[in-house]
Amino acid sequence: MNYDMEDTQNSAPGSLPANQASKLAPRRAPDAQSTTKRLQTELMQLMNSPTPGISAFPSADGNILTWAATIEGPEETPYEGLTLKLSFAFPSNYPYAPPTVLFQTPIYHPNVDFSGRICLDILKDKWTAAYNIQTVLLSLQSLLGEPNNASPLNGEAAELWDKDMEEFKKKVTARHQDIDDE
Amino acid sequence: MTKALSSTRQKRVFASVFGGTNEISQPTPDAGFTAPGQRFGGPLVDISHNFPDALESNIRDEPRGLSQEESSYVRDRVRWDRSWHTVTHALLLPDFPKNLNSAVPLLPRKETLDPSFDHSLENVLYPGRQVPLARDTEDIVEWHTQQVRSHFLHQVLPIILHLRETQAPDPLILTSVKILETAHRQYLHGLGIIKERMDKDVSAPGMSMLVLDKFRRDLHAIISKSVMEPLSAAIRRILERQVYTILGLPLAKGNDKAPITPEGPGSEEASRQLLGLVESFKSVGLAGEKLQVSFAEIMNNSMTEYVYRGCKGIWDAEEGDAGASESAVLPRTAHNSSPSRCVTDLCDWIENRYAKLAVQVLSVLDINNKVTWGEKERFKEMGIGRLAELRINELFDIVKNWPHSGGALDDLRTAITTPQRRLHLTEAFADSLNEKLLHPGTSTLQILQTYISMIWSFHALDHSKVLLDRVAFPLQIYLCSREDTVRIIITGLLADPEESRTNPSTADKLVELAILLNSGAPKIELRANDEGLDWHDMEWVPDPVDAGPGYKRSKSADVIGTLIKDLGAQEVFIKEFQNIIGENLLKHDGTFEREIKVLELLKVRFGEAPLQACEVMLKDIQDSSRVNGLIRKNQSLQNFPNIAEITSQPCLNAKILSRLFWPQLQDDSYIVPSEIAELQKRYEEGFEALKASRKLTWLHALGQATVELELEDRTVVEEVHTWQASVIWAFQDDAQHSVEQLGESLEMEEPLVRSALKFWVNKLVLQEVSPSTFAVLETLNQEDRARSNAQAAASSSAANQGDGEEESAQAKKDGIEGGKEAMYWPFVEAMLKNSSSQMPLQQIAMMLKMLVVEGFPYSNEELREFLARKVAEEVLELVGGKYKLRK
Repeated sequence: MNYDMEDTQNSAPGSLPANQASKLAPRRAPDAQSTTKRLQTELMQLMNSPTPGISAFPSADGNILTWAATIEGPEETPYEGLTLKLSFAFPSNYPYAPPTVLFQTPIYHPNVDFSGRICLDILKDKWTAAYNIQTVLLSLQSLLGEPNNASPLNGEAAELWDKDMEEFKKKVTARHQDIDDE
Repeated sequence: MTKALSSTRQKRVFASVFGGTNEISQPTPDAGFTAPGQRFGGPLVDISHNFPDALESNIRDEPRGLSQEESSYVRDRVRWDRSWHTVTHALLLPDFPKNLNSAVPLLPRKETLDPSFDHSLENVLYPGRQVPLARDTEDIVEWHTQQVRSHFLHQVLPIILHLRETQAPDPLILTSVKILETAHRQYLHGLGIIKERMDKDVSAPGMSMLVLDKFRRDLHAIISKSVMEPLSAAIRRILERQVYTILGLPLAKGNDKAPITPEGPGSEEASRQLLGLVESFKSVGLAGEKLQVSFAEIMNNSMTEYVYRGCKGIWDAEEGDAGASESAVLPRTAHNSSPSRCVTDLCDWIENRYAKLAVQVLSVLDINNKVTWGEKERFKEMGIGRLAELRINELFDIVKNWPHSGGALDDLRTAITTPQRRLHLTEAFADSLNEKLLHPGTSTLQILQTYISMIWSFHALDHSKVLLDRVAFPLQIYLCSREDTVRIIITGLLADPEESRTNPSTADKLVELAILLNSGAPKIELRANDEGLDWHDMEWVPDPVDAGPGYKRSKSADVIGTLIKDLGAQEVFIKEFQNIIGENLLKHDGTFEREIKVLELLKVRFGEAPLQACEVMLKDIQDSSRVNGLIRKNQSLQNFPNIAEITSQPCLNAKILSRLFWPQLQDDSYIVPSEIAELQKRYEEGFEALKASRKLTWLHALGQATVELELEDRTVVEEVHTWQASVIWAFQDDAQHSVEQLGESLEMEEPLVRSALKFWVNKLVLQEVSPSTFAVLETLNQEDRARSNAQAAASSSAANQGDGEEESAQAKKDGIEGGKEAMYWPFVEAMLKNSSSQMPLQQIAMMLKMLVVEGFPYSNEELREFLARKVAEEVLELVGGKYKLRK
């Protein structure tokens, strides 16, 4: 019965074939070692083939289950030229459950609320084990240029995005402030 | 006029009515008590006639005509009441004077007292005798006490409390004492009158003293209960100041450098003041338990203060200072064979100043509980205890300071006389060891050096080694977990003490051991067995009480012995020794005196059998020089007489090793130059001719080669490894080679090739013309020449062996370079971008070690070098010890 949900999750493009996923299902039990290993592998990938505009690294305390990430605001969006910081908190059964991602930098965006919480389907019900940090960051980067105004967390932003882009840009600039973590 | 007249008249009228001579009211004459059944207020009427039935029985018991007796009751009563009134009025305390400076007359004056007063007082004092029939008499002393209490609480105390809020401690105390003295005088004056009368009574001698004592006790209780509390802080401060001045302690807190001032007029003055003050406290009743407790606390603190001021950080032993005469001041319980300066000073101070003060003050404070001079012994013991406490806290630093801390160790030895203190010492020291030394941040060398200091220090502290064994155990366990311990010890033993003196770069070796080894023959438990029988040993002490079972005494510190015995199993030691001397034997020529010496030492310790292999190794080397000469002669490999031919023809010497007895020797296989191979073949034949049944196997990589390179403008002579020689040989025919080419032609692994090339580049013989392609540098420009000369000068002084090790065939030793740099840079960059915008080196190293999957094998130094390059490239910056990305 649990596999039904598995299947819907795996219907996302690029996910594992269903039979493989069902094989993985019994291993769902938290396995700290494999999570660490996976995150280390992801880190190596990120380091070996860096993607311009995004960057991520485990947090300074050396806990590999919490990461910090940076997204450069994509060009030709209101966020152009801004640097946005995020935090990732990985559950112990990652990648079978999505990480908790929050914007650390204050951001004015239809799908982000004022405490940095993000409304993005792949971070919730559409999550699959095939996603990784890099894809999440890329999705977030594209979300900046193409907000999902159908389900806004910030109604005013959604409205302004559609009606008054100038005002929206002003709000973005007003809300943004560079954080310097110490 | 009229008014005055009328008032006199009035007075007379009043007098006629109330009959009083004084202006105080007088009780009305008592008409006596109405008998039961009588009416109040009226003359005594026989009412029995009116109520005959009801009172029949009563009346029958009471005889008629009671009036005579009754009236005497009344009379006594009246007399008592009048006397009481007179006395209390006369003794009533006047209001407390506001102005303390004017002499306040004591009221009532004796001479003004009414003559009737004396009589009244007698009545009041002895009602049983004077007015036997008066009932409900009261005690006049009790009354006086009550009056004093309320007077004190309502009039004197508020003044003092008010003073407290307005005045500084000094005047506050002085004024308060004055007020209290005045009040005291007043209170006692009233009582004095009563006492005087009581003294007249001969029937109860001494009664008056009892009464007076009781009153005084009550009064002091009242005063100390009410006044001591608000004044205690001020009193304490003043006492503290005086005591500190007397004892020569600096008053200002925090000023660590302030020395103990010697006794002088200042302290004498303070002493006089203090005693006067205490005296006056006592006279006004402030010298109660609270004051005594305060004083005790101050004295207690001052002893600690003295120990900390006078002894902290003073560890030097001063020769000749502690004479035999002064050791007399030490308490008997101390270990006083050689008292140290601090202990002597401390005891001296306690004897001459501290105990003196305590005795003086306490004798003023409390007459019953005299402090005898005998107590000073106890004070001294306490002081030494405090000193021991201080030294125990300092012990780690004391140990590190060895041998410049003999005095401190003497202090401790004097002080640690009880098993409890010994236990405390070892526990405290083990704690600080754990905290300060036994962590990954300290190098094994440091730990070993501290261990050696520990062995020395604890030996000075306690010859029995019991203490050392207790603290050293965790250290030994920890050292056993370090892989390089044994190696460091052995290289230390083999180090050249001469070299260490001239060349500071060998500071990373444990040369102390070599110096020890050379300084004298190790006396290894020579006297262990017969010590108990040595009747002439005046230094003999029994085994310490806390020695464990199996305790064995040994007199010498025996640093080397302790290190070898405790740190690692015998096999480990021998194996490591084998490896190291194997390396040394192959690398050098000579007589190997040091190696032989260490081998002898180990043989004494471990026995001959386990060290047989090492013996063979040494013998191999000694033999091979003989065999070598023989073979060379037989195979005509001998030096050609023609000098020109020596330089052009390589020559070959070999060391012949017995494979079974040598440790596993690493060998990198590669092709030696054909000329050398030819020589080897001939040599082999010679050997097989000499020793028929044996076969010779060449270990190329272990050899040494002397290479002489003739370049266009210079000649380079280098003592190098054979693989380095092989690589440079390849350039003889062709001045330019790529790394791959060399690797193929020599069948050598690439890291080794690169390492050799790097070596020659450093020697300015080769240069990297394009990446991974090297060519011979035939001529040097000016700048390079200067470098070359400097290098030659440097290398001539520095021992060549260091280079050889540095340039060993391991690629990872070459720092973070090339591909590795490209690999690690993204980590550092992403780390500084995301995790924390600025990080110190250690944290970066830690993160890399944790997060790079295949591990991060570089040292902090290498990482620092790598980051420094990035700083030079202006992508990083170093601000306040932390790295950050340049924006």
